Amino acid sequence: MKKILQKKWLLLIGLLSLVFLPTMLVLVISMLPTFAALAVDRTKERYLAMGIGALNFCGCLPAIVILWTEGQSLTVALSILGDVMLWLAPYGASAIGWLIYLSIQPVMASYYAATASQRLEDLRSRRAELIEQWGDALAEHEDLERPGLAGAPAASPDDGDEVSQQQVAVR
Amino acid sequence: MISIAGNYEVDPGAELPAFDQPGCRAYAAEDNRQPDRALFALVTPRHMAPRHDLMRYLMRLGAMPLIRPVALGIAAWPSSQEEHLIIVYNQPGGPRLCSENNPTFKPLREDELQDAIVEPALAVLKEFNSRGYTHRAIRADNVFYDSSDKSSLMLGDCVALPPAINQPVLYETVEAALANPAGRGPGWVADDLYALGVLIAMLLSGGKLCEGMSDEQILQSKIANGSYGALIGRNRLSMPVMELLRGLLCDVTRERWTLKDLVAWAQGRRQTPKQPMLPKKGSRPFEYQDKIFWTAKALSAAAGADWDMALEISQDTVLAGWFSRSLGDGDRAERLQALLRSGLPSANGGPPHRLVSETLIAMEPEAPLRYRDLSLYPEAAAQLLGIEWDQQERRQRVAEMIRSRLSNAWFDGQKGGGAEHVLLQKNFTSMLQYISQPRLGYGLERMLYDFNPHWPCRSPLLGGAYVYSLLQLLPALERIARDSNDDEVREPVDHHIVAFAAARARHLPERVLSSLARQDNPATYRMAILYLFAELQRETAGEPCPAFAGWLARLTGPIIESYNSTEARHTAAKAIKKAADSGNLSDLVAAADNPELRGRDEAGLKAAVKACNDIDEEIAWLESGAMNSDDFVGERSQKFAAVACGCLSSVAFLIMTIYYVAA
Repeated sequence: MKKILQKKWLLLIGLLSLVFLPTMLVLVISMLPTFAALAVDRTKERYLAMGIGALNFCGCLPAIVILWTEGQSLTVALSILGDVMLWLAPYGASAIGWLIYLSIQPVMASYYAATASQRLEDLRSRRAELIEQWGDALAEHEDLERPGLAGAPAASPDDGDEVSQQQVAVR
Repeated sequence: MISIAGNYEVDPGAELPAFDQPGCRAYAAEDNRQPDRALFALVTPRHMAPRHDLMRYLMRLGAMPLIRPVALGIAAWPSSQEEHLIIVYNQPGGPRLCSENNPTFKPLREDELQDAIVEPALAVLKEFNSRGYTHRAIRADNVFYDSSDKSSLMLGDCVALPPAINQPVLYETVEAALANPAGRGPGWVADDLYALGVLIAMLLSGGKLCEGMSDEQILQSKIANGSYGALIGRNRLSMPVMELLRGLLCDVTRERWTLKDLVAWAQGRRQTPKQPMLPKKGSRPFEYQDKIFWTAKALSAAAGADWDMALEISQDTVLAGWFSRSLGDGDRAERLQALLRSGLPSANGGPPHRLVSETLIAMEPEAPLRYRDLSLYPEAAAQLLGIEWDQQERRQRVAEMIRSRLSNAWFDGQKGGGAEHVLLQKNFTSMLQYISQPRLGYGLERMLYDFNPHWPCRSPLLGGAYVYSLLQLLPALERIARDSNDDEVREPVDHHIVAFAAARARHLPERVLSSLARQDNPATYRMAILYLFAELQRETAGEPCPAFAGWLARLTGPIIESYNSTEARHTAAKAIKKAADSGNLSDLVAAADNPELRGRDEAGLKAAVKACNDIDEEIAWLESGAMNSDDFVGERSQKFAAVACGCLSSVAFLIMTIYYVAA
């Protein structure tokens, strides 16, 4: 099933490539950093590819806009690909993405190192509050017997259950 | 002066010894509405119950040749500060016929008998019999002259004390005389007629009947010679009086004169005097040590009074042989042999008391049920228990007797009895069920109050209060709570109070009693106490009792603690205090066991438990250093970077869109 779906997508992209060949040409060449990120990012969530892809795509937009405003022909597409400035936008945006990705980890490590002890304090304080409010019941909650006279064994088979608020109508 | 029933006043300083009853002192009383009315009051003992049903019936009746109660009430007696039931009576027109100190009097002539005693007694007994009551206190020292001219007599009080408790052996039939005084019970009209016969014989003798004889001698004489022979002997009587006394003193109950026969006699219809029916004599006597017995009745009476003798003869085949060969009573001999063969078990390897008791029943079925030092009629078992409650050994003896199911053997031995015996047997089954459960609300106490409907509650918690009805219980506890300066948290329940409440209340759910057995769970137990009294207040439509409610509120500690959160505890404690101040025990129960609050508390606890578990997990995770691990930081960094890139690209996309659209 998955393979069938993949085939359908490939077929759709193939058809679009035939129809929008100049656009596809510009996009494929401009989005090379994203493909590189996809190849490098082996995580399940593909955060790296998503982040770089988003910035990379933003960088492609000026070229796409020029292509579409000037008639979406192979000639225009090739002239765009020949313009270094138009190459700089997608690849620069990707580079920013890569920069963010590479620089954030040390920052985050410092952040977590700084907040872990505070978080621990907060949790301990919250736990103490809960215990103060609920007492030993928190520790024993599974073994607690509630009053209301429910749950006590009957004295004889005829006795029935013990009383509870609902059962003994104190009118 | 002590006020009784609103309209009567009793003067505790004015004793009237002429109207004393055994165990009850008489005092002057006054009717506020009719100050010239001659009244006296009897102060009843606290540990016995008067005959309430009969008393209330007599209070509604008009004038009768009987000392009649006119009012009753409970009041604290000044000398002891303890409450007593006080009964106000109409005074008789003349003095008492005789007393213990002055037992003799001018004998009546035979021609005076009918007007002096037969007619008055007949009027009373007919009235009593029409409602199924008996007098059971017909004796010479309980008879008064009806007027100052001493022409006729009236019967004395019969309600202040349990029936027949003060009847001398002389006035009791042979069988009833074998029973302990507390175990005689109300008996039948035949017992009153027998006592009337003895009274008539006494009146004729001027109080010298069986003078100087002990109870035992009187009993032996009655067994040996028959009651008529023992009491009248060779004294010469006119034919009508002989006919009367032979009829009334007949020892065989079914042959004894009935009220109908007495009415016929009073109307002048004469019958042939009944011939004495003496018990069958054996051809040879039964010998035991230096005693010899000629009749089964004499042997049974002696064995019942001497349990060691009974133990010995009941395990010996000689007894069955004597019944068979000497008395010629094959049926009883066979029954005695069967009992011996049955090997009835003994308790704890001790003497086979049950075998002895059944042997005595087989020997003389009409005699009372005898078990060791107990001798009683089954209908009086609960009454005997009440009267002798303070003697622990006797209490235990009653319990032993019921557990051994001896009553079944006694009922099996009776001829007739029918529906009454079926009902009594059912009662014994209930008694057995009660005493088999030693928890609160059951036991001997439950038997005491269930089968003595007006017996006062013997709980030490009630102090000097006299409580015989549910209506009086909460007011008594309210008074005790009000007067008490005791800060110690005592529980206002014990075996007596719970059994009393269970016996008297019509709608007390069994669940309350079973929860009262949960003393291992203080919250459930205390809650059950609250439910018990709330139910009593509801059933009696009682007044609010704020002091007692405060007492109960002080017991709610474990209930409040059973709420999980401090907030719920505060809420419950506040509600309990408010309810206690109102004195409404149902509100107190609702405040202590609030299902809505408890539901919220339970749900809150579940959420708190979950939160606490989550916190614990997170703390453990943090303490393990996972938060600073490369994996965690890397994953979070990627996520954060993706989000940052996404935000940045969104902004750039927005700016470009605006730029191109504007261009």
